[in-house]
Amino acid sequence: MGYLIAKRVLAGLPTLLGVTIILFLTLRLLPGDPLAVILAGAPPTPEMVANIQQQFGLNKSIPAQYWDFLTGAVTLDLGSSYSTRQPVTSMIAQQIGPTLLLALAAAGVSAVVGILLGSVAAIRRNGVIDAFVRVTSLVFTSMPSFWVGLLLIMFFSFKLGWFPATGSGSPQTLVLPAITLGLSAAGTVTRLVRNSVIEVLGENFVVALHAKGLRSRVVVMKHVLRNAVIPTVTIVGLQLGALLAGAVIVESVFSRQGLGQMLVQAIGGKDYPVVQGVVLVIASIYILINIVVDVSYAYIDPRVRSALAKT
Amino acid sequence: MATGSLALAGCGGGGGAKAATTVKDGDAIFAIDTPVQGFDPNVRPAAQEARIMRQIFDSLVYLDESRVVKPWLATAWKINDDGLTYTFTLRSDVKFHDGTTFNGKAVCFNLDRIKSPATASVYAIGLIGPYQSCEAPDDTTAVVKLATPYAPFLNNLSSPFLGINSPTAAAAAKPEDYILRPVGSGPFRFVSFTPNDRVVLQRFDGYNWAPGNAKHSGPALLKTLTFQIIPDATVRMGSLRTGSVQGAGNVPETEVAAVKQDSRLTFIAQQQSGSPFQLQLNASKAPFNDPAVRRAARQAMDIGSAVKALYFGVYQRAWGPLSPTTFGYDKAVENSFTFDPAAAQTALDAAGWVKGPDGIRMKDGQRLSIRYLEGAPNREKRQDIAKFIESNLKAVGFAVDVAFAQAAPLQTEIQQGNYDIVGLSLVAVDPNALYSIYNPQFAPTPKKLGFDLSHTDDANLTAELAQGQRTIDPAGRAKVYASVQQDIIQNARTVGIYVPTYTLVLNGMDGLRFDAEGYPIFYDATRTR
Repeated sequence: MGYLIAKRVLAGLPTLLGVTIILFLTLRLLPGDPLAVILAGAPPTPEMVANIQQQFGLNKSIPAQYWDFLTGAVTLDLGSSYSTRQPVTSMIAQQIGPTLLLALAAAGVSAVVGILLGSVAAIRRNGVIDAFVRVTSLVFTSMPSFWVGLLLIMFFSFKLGWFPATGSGSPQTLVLPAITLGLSAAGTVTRLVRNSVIEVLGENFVVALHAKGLRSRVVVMKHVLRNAVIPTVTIVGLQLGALLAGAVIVESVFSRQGLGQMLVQAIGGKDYPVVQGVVLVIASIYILINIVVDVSYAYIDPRVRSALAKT
Repeated sequence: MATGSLALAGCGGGGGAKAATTVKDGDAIFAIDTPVQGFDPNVRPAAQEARIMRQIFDSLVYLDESRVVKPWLATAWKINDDGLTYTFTLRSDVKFHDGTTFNGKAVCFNLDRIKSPATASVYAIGLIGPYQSCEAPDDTTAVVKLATPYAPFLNNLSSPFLGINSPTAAAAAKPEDYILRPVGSGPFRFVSFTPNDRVVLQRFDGYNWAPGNAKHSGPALLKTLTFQIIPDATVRMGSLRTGSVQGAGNVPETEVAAVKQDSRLTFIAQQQSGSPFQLQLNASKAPFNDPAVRRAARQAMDIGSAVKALYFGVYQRAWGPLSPTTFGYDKAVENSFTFDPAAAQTALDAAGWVKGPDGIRMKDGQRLSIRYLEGAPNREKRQDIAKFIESNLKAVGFAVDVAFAQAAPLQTEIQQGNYDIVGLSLVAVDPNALYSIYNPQFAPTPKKLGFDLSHTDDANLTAELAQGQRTIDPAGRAKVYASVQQDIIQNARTVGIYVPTYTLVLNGMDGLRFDAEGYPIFYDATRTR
């Protein structure tokens, strides 16, 4: 097992290296000069421009800049932001907590809503409830999250006053953003759970359980759901990556702190070190989640384990 | 003197219905729309941050309503006849938030820190111009030396970007730490910053050196002042109406009418000084290298209607290269030209541009086609302005290609000279902003930044702008800038569109004032109920 994990982690490293190269080149090959953005508000003199270039290492060649970035990244030094002079590592350390919390809470919302609606729809399949759930799940996935966020704020904050509209300090401020972000992912989970419950309901052992005289509720709650939910857990895990990316919009609507907002500002300001740092961290999380999912599959299913060990 | 009455363009919607009672030692939250990143005035360049820094930092001087320089931390000053040496006499009773004393050394420390390459200042360094050195012979004196005469220096000292930092605090912390823990001598001291969320300030109880135009003395009236960052306009306005914030900046134009009608809300529109939003006509190539064509194009633009239609009377129309609240603004520029498409057609005919079969004018086989470049996203509806001007110019026989670009690619196109019209505005406290807009030295070229987007290169104008920089006497200086404004209007080098205006609404707060640049001052503000 340890060998397997080591192998997967080693295979992840070239992917990460590839990400850094593409990212580094894209940022610099796109038109535009960070100096132009940094100096946008003030008439710059040639001396000012030269000084800023030197301070930020922008006078070096692109390969030299990349080498600086790569050697720094190995020691967790991602450089300093052009606009705030802050070390990027500490900026990320400060902002990653709220974003992860939001993504996790949203994954929770997505799992709870998805499993609940999905299994109800499966049990009452082809009925009115099923049709309702199927339409609802479609609506969840298709609604843009900034709009859902605004609707929730209008109703629950401004009209009812139950939850604060903005901020990121207290647990109450997490409720509406987590629902907003979670609902977009819940649609997929609902569909998945519905199909998987229907599949399990058709299995022979379910017929046997009914024949044994168990009440329907016990059969569904205790036996069917447990079997049907396993693949869902994996999907929710994988969704976490997408939720991290989706947090960008939700953070902005609810004025929350987080990596997403930081990234958007950095892109606008051509703040290379911050963009590189945040993307690198998000990419690492993506790769990490993939490894965890792979390994957990192997852990759950011996067939996968033996197949992986052979390759 | 023209300036004072214009400061509050549209105040107090509801009128007399308000019988608010003042809350003693209240707490207030003011919502801003753009995330802020740091609060070191020597380093940071953003206007949004200046609105916060203005509360934390005091300046040596301030500009009153008539744009006359008045004492603040400096009680008096003497400028040598050569304009190179400024001797400031300083207050002796001023303390920074960390308990240290403000003195001549503190002034010198701040100026030297801005000049130091390690600070990598991008805005403050421009404000001190040819600053050379500073000496503090005693605690209440600072002698500042400039390399060349620089009249904007004194006006610029009033800017929040030249607010005085505590030397002890700034020297003790690493620059990247100090930027998030600023220490000044202002009425509010910095408490905390949660990125993308809020900045919390607390009243500085020892404060007793408010400038002369303040409405009271002693400590500020609010106990705490929080700036909350709410980028979404709907959420920002909703938070204000439900009372979770007491003030909100950047009111969407479409909301202004509703806000003005709501008797609980106070609407304020504060014009910003400097150079207003203007169209820069690229004189480095045809067709706008011909002043007659530039004048004809301007005559074809129905600017008044466009500004009225897009900004609902909240933004005023700009006429010349200076905003009305700027020192040296010449009122004579107003109504100095008219909208007259028929006259524009005649003028274009006379200039040799004759209408071709497709309605587009031609001269020597060249079509009268121009490229209008504007930034994206649609800041202050500038893209809509572009659409208005496009249809105006098409009507008199121009072929207009309107292109929108994000900040970085836009800058590249500008440096390549790939435009005939491009917009620009520049917030500044001193008319010297024009020096960098109409000076060939600042013309953008590939790999070179600059604000002379009209590629104006006129020896006489360049000399006048240099003279404006050297003339210390305010009356003489105003005369120089009057002549500069006349030249720009007569030659249609740039075309003024609207005056950038900071709009805000209050609900449960009162007593806000504004400095010369249009930044809010919360010193006299109170919570109301």
